[in-house]
Amino acid sequence: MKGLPPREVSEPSACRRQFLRAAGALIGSSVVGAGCRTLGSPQQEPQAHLEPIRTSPPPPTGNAELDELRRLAVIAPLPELVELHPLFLMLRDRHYRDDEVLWQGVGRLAMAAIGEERLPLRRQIAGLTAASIDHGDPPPALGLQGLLPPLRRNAR
Amino acid sequence: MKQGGGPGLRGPSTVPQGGTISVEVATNDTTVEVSSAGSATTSHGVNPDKTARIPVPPVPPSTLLFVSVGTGVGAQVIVVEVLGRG
Repeated sequence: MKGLPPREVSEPSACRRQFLRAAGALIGSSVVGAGCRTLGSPQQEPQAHLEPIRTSPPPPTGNAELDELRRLAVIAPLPELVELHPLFLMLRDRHYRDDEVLWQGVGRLAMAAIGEERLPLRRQIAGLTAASIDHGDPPPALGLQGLLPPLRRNAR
Repeated sequence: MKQGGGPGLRGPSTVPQGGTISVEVATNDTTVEVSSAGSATTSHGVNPDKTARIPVPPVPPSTLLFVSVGTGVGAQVIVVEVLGRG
């Protein structure tokens, strides 16, 4: 019997770039309001999750704690959000489960855990963000449920 | 056992199911709070020697617990992974 020709396998990095573009477009397309930079453009860079989502703070809520968490979620540089991710994710889960701005921060962390191989505490961040998404009710427009499979792989 | 945390709170990074989380509290907080994603938060007293021994809640293996002292953005947090008994 004649052998079959080898099956072509796409480069893992190319697949990952395509995935990150699609996921970034899903998250970025939900951002609204003055001073926001839209991430969902066709020229979206695969590493867009490294950049803050907004260039100006969200409107103040009157709750200083929530305002600070929102700053971390969408304004702060990713290294700062990563450094403070346990505090951010814990306070979000305990007190602000429905805040849409904070869900965007969860999305930034999740995207970083998927796309950044050298992210500090990558496995922990993947596990925590997966748990947040799994046990929470993220806004459908953010597309965070679609990040669960790669997050679970990276959490092992 | 690998320790996590900072100056205000120190504890293990993993704990077996059914086990006990032993933490050291350097702040003046009198309670330690424990929760996981989507769960309620439980409070546990800090002993006079500034330690606390917290029974692991009934959660599946690989659950990540938030163990904290203090409130708000000044809280000290460690993340503890629950390992399977096997």
